[in-house]
Amino acid sequence: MRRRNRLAALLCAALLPALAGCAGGLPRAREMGDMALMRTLGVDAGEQAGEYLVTASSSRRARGVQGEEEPPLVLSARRSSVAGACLAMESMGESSVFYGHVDQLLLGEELAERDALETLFYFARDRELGMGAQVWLVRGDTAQAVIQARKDTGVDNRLAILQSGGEQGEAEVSRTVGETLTALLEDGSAYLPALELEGGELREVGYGVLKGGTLAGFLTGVQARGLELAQGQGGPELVELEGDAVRVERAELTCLPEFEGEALTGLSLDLRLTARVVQSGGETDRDRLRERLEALACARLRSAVEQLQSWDADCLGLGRMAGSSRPERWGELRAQWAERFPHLKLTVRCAASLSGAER
Amino acid sequence: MGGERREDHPHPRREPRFPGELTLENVEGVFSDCADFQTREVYLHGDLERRVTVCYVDGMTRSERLNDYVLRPMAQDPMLASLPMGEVVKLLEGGALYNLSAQRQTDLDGAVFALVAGSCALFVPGFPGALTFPVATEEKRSVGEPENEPALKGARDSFVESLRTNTSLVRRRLRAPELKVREHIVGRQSLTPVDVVWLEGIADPDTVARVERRLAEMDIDGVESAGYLEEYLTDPWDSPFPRLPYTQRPDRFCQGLLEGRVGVLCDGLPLGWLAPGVITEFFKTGQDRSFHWAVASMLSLLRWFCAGLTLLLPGLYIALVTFHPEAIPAKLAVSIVAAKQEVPFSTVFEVLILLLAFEVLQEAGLRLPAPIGATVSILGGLVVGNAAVDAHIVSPAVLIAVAIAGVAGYTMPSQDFAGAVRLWRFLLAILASLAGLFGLAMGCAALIRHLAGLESFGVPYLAPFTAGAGAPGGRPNLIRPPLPTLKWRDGAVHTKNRRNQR
Repeated sequence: MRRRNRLAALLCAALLPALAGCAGGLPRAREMGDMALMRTLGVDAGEQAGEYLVTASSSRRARGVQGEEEPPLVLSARRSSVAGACLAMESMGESSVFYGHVDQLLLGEELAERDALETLFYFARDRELGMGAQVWLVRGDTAQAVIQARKDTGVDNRLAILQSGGEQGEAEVSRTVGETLTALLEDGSAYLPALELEGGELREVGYGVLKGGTLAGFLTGVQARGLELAQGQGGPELVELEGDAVRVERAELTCLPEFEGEALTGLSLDLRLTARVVQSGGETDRDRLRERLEALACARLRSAVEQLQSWDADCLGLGRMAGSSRPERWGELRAQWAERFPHLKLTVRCAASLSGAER
Repeated sequence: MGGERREDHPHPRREPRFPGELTLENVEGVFSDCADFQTREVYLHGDLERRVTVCYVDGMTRSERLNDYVLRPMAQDPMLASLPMGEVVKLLEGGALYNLSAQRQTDLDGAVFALVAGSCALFVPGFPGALTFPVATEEKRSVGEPENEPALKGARDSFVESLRTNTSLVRRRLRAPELKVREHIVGRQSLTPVDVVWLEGIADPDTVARVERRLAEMDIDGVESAGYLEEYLTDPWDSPFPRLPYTQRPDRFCQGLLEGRVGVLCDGLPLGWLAPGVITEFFKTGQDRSFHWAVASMLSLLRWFCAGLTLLLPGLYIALVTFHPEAIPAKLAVSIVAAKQEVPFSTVFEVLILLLAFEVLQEAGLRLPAPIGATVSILGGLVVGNAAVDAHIVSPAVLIAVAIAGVAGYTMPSQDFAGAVRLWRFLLAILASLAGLFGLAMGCAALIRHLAGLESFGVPYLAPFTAGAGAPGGRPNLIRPPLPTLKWRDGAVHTKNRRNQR
């Protein structure tokens, strides 16, 4: 009996590496002191079809405990796959290049126009990279240009600020590789925050919309603010109305499908806003201010959704939202959504509650 | 304590130890070449015809008692000179000498052992045997404060080296007549009295029997240190983890007895042991029941957290830095890389060497007198550590990780348990250096398997968490609930009476 138990224990011990994902062998030891920890990866389309230009950048590095900071390590490689380019860069630097800390991905506009999906999938599949990396789309330029523009100070700090601002509603909505892939696989389209290089500085310019992995277009200005409202955020800008400045703190969108018989004909969008008056300099009374805010929010949301309809890209997941609000008609809605979405008649309503400064 | 120990008596005891008739000559023969053995001839009430001999071991007896309560009555009592000698012996035994007890010894062993224990022996010519009167000295260290378990809020007495003083300290707290004290003599040469103490009706009789059987099986020369008891009462070879918690504090010892545990007290050792000892006993302090339950619970959780920290931190550091750097937050990883760049040694080597250095420093600090020990700690810990970092011999991150692990280990109330954890810390660090988090996880699984296989006097070591199928559950001791809610004694110790309050 005891011998049988020992045998069973040995068998279990032999199976454990496989169960722990170590079937291919135990993990390999590496010394961190010899590593260059890459933080940012920029992927652009190469000059030839099917070619990728990958640029990697580390943070500013310190040599020794109290040593002087050195500029970031920036490496570039051009290969026919992202993986090949990453592998090529590993043999370039003085240190071994480690991609395990890459948490920022910049996609060039040209690559997005061609196909961004393959790069996103590479992040999902690679054992060092992860789906938690934040993604930005570079408008009108290449990711390499953005990284090179800040090669002395590093681009990672600026991107980290944009990410935390996006999470707190003070910058454009941030997106991870995982969120983008999920949206692409479930809704067929996804949006990404877009950046522009202007005078060597990075500037937020709205959102790029991917449809099936390729760039459908950019939502900028009012449309970008409409997208943020649909995503429950007030956006980075204050709403200025005749001398009053209002900050939208929270937005909640309800989406209801409208049917005529069996046919899906419209979409009713109800937006509830919670806003705070941060500066009250105008002569408008509070009710009038609220009405103007509601009208402005309706216009922004309508503009954004109409633009998405024109691209046939439901990157906001309106179909899923509509289905969950009318689960009894989910089957009909799902069958008609892809075909009917561009032609749905929009009804947009907005109700705002204001708080804060009053003259 | 898996199975019973093998019966093995390579040189059986000689019974009786000193064969022969109990006579003065034989006693003097036994104590030949013993400078401290003394005899004194006394004439009863000055009658030269009535001579008795008093024997004693100098230093073991108290001279005032011997003079005032034995020699003086014999010299001054006229009855002793007037009665026939047969009556005189009865009179001496019956109260003519002022003593708490008088024993008639008939064999040589009894008289010899009584003399060694501090009695004086009285030989009356023409009468077989001897009378012994206990006049032992009570010179001992006075009851002081428990140095290893200081009390912020509680009793300040501690056990001393005198067994009878220790039993009196217990009995003063537990005045129930059900408090039983059974004495065993352990050690061929030391003849050390060891008392088994328990509360009748509360303690498990089976545990009492197990403890007594173990004591009876101890066939050693002497009990010179605590290890003799601990290693013979438990099975030390299958685990470094202690299974017999000890305390210097009588109040904590009594608390253990009230919980149904069986106590062991040993002459010459200022400690009390409590059996059975399960894992949570080594995380309790004597102050746990003195503080507010919320504070005591928080401190208890902190001790458990620190135990995990001291056990896992070096291994975790090796695993993360060497095998899984992607799991380290980016900014911390950058700092580690910066600090590690000019260090010539591998992370594994750094951690293991620093762990070893920590042990060396600790050992050096303990062995030296306190002022020099402090100097060694400062020189070793601060000066050498700082110089090693400045010279890029070790990385500051490693130094911090090992120091945190070391300091966290000091929060454990039981240094025996902390020692076992330190051994396992080395093992886990080595496993982590072989296979990263996988090795560390395997090491942790092995540790849990090891702990789950241990028993203390028939009680599973992990009883507070899992007592086994059908067994009464242990009490979750990670926190200290309010005392009015502790209405039941710990079921895992098999107490005879679980309810302890209304």
